[in-house]
Amino acid sequence: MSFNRRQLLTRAATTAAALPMSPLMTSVLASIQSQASGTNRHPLRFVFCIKSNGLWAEMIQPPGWEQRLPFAVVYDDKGRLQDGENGKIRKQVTPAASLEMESTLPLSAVMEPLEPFRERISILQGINSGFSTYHMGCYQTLGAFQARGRNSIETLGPTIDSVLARAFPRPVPHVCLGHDPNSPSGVAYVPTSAAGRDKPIPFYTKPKRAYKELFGVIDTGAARREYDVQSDILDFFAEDAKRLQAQVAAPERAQLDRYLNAFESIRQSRADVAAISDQLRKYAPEAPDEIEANATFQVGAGNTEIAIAALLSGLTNVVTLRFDLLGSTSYEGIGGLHGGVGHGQVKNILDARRKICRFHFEQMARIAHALQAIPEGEGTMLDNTVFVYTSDNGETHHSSGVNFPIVLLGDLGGRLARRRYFAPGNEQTDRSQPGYTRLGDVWATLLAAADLPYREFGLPVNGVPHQPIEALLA
Amino acid sequence: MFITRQSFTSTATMFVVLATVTLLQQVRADELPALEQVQQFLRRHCNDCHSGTEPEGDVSLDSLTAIRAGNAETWQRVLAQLSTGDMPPAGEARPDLAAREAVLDWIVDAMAIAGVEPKLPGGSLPADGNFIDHERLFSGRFTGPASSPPRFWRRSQPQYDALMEQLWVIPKLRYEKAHTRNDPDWAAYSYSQPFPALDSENFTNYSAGVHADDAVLRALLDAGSQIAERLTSAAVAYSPKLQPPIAVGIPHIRRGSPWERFQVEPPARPAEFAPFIDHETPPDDEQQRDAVARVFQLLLRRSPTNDELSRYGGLLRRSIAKSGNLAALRGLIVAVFVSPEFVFRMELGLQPADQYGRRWLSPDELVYAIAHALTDDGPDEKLWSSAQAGQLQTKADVEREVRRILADPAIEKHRRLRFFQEFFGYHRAIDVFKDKQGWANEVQYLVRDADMLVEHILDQDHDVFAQLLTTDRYFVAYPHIKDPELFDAIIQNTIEETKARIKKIKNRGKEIEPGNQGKYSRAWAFTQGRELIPRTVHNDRGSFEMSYIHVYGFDGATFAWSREQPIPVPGRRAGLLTHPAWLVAHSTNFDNDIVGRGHWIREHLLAGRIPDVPIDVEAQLPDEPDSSLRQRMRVTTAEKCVRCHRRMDPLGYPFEIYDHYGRFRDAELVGIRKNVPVAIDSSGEILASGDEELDGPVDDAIELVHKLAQSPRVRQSFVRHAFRYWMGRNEMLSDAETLMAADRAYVENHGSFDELLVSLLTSDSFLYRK
Repeated sequence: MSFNRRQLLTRAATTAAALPMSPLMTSVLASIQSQASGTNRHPLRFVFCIKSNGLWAEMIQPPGWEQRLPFAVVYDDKGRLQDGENGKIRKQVTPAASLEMESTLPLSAVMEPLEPFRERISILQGINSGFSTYHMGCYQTLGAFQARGRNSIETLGPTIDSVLARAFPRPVPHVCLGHDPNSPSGVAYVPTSAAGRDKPIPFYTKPKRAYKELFGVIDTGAARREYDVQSDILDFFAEDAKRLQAQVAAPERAQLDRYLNAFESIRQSRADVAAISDQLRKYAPEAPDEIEANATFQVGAGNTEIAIAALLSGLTNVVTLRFDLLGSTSYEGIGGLHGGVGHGQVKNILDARRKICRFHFEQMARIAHALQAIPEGEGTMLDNTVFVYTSDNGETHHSSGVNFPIVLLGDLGGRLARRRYFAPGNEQTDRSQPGYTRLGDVWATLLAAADLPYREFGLPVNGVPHQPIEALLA
Repeated sequence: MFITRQSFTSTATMFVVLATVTLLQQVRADELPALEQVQQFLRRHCNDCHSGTEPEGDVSLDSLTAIRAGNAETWQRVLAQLSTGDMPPAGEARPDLAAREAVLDWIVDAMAIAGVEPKLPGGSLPADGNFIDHERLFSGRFTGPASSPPRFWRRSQPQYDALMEQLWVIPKLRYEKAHTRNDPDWAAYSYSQPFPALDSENFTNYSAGVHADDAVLRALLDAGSQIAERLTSAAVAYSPKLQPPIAVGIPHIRRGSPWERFQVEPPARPAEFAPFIDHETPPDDEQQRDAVARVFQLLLRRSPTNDELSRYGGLLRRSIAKSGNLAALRGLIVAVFVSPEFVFRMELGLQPADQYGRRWLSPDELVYAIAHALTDDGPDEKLWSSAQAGQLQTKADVEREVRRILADPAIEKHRRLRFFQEFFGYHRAIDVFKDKQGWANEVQYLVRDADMLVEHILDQDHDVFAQLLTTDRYFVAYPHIKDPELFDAIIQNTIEETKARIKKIKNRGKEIEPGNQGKYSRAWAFTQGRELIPRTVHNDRGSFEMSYIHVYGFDGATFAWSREQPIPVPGRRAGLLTHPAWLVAHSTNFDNDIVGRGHWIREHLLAGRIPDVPIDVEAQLPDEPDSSLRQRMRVTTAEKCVRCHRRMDPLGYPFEIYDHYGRFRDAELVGIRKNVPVAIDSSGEILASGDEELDGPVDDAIELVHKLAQSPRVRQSFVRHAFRYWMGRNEMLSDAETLMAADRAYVENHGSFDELLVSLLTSDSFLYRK
């Protein structure tokens, strides 16, 4: 072997940062090389599960550990925190802790669906994002950068899921599945992931649409016919692009190039998908039915099916699931996320939040069970996977972004610690001082665990680059 | 030297910068004013703070010598601060403009000689527009020649919507103009919008802000499939939920309305598509050519060239062989739908270059440029015939066409109203969530009322900016219907419906009563002999919705609607900045947004600039339920905050005479239950505005906006924003003449916005590319 895995990955990540749109990076070849050349022959997998509307700290707090929360967990009859309005009290910092959760320690009742994976779970509390979120963190959350203004949809750099997807490419490097009731087409810029500055990644917001795009190649019905016709069109313009590019001179060409390159890029990714059609046939789900865009539970469950098939078939190593959107999502039988669950127009906020979180944990559990059922090396696919669950908006409906709770499931092939309870205890409020842990450090931990460079990731806070959190590494 | 240095302020185009550096390198050192003179300038205006052992901001200028690699960074900072006018700071004596220009000239030239590339602050986004110092821009020292860079205009969302409407994909068969996403009708036609939404806090059609990439292509492929399905389907293309106006009792079909079109030219599958549908055998060559031509006509509004006939025909043939007739036809539609021409409109300037290297837009380019400056619908027949007759060659030609469109009431000028929406941002009120507290909180009607006010003032076209900022009369619950005949019909229909409703209530043995707590009831208003608020959209959910008028201070039980509007409203108001729609748009969920309002005024009306929030600042107010918002704002007086906040907060405090719903108030309610009144302090101050006559304390929002409305600087800031909106880019110093001419056109024509617009659209900045 002329190069070791670490070198190759480092090189891949650097190249990816420089050429974020290069279709070469999506080729299967690079992936096979990177996996074949390392000491660990198994791919690493990442599943990001992102909710909106804030994740209340107590949803994931193990029973008996409530005293570690910086606020008393007492609710009024509507499920609102008694002390403090609208969850403002949640801005307080969490006491410092870095503990091992004993194997007998049960998970919170809400996390019950994940009970079979208790051994693999770590819980992070009180992570300071370094930016102010209010309603929505949008791209800032996975990107670890501060955008101008609150709720901004600015994309100042790549998000962690996208960086990992480029480092561990498969035919579809990054499968993004979300929910947006306002997008009848089934494709939308659900503000979560970005490939780079000003490069938001569109999400499939309907399982049927995702199926058509990801598994259309192996379909035998209508999805296949549409797939073929679209392939013809992509071929047509990929050819036509050269003619057009020759007609237009610099500097105005850049904008046109960006669009014309998209034909080649989509064509390439389709060719890569076609190359593994046997695997796809083995794991592809049934063609999903049309689901009403506002049927949140159904869309969520359908997305889980797609995610499972995409991971098991080797179509991708990185999935980002965005369960809901603050402005538009309404959970059937529970209520709207903003006015209802966020502002307390539902009958009981606490109960509503528990039901919603539980649904998310059920989806994670389904994926984890599916991965666990497939042998890989001496273990299963789950062994080489990590799930990340959090809210783009941190601690609550109106967050200040200083108290993100995060659940990690899986140790990424023994690279991450198991059963950690970690809270950095942000007594330290000066961002230039040591001991100040930020959200970007959690993502840096994932990069470090995957042997990828982390110092350049996100925007350094006050000049301090992000660093891995030692306590979370194995 | 003069012209070359101006070019440096070009914000985006690298090639201009490179060309200029080359030119500057030819400057000889002995042509420059002496370093000594520059040092003298710095001593006079800078060194009081930036010298000694503890210089301000750790920037010491007292020993600054000729430019070289070692001190280039300090010189860059001097260049940046002087060019933006940020230094000397507010309150200090301003250097004479000529002296400042001479120093700036010297620094740029000396840098070129030293091989240092001058870095002027700025960017290509709308928020960066004010980096160009206002004083310099309107000094008269800069005379062009003006031009815009070549541009690829990506199709905008409204342009896409307009086309879909023309194709009957989303037939907006409503009698009232749709305004907001909250419009219940809107949801019925939900369809794919392939172009991503842009940051709505600024102008949305900005060259630096719009692009098309993988994501857009994926979305276009998908949307194209939907459109193809509809265009080739025998089923009626509009939503089954749609009710014609006849169904809501309105018998009239307005001339030129979509309904009229619906009768004359109902949605139907193009005849050219028939051979592809329900036929097993492939269509013949001529039929294939006809289909290609028809798809071009539908989507691109032109006929294909022979080359295109052959290339797209080839694609169609290949697909027929592989996937069958219908799939191939649909594929052809998708192909044209994702073609670069569908996505981009090119403005390269196809005429020969002039002495400055600028190229005038060709007649074909002008046809689109003029049409899309004013409407979303694209060029009309008259524009095309002007171009074909060779009558779109001169500025006078352009002016004639612009004036024709402005004067034609049948052509809706979508983009003119949208400028005011995007400039003031009041249309974003619908994005601010408020708890209802038992009241109808239908902010879309507030936005509609504000739109009506803008349209009304534009119709008068007299002293437009001042009117917008100071009028004390608003439209209240007023449908956006220009056709008087249709308006009559709707009013009559509302009366009939209300009579029927009253009959129903009486049949149940109940009395007609006023709505509780002053909520609006048409039935009650009718029994009191008052005119009724007309029904607005098809899905109007009844009288209760109209209770939103309480935000203006009206009691629903006594409110008498009138067709003669605008009307005075209770409480004190002055123009759009005190309109509830603007106040809500610039508020948070629970409070007024003092900082945001001050920030908005500083940047939009005073042509000023506030730096981004530093990365290490937790910009949060303390949670103190018993304190007024102004008391909680004390945190912004901390030393590290106050330098920026004193330029915003005192402009926001005057609006404390309104609550965050936009209601006029005498006292602020505090406490957990928001029921303890405390006195309001609405005093504020205009500080360092750049217009000395404007600076000074104000008692409240009314005084503030009246002062602002008088200021030439505010008017010019308005002109700058209009320029940005219509050029789709930030201004450069070379655009100074365009801006000053637009300002003159406005002033000399007694505040006519249309004259300002004609001036902008006939300027070199609009018509030349370089």
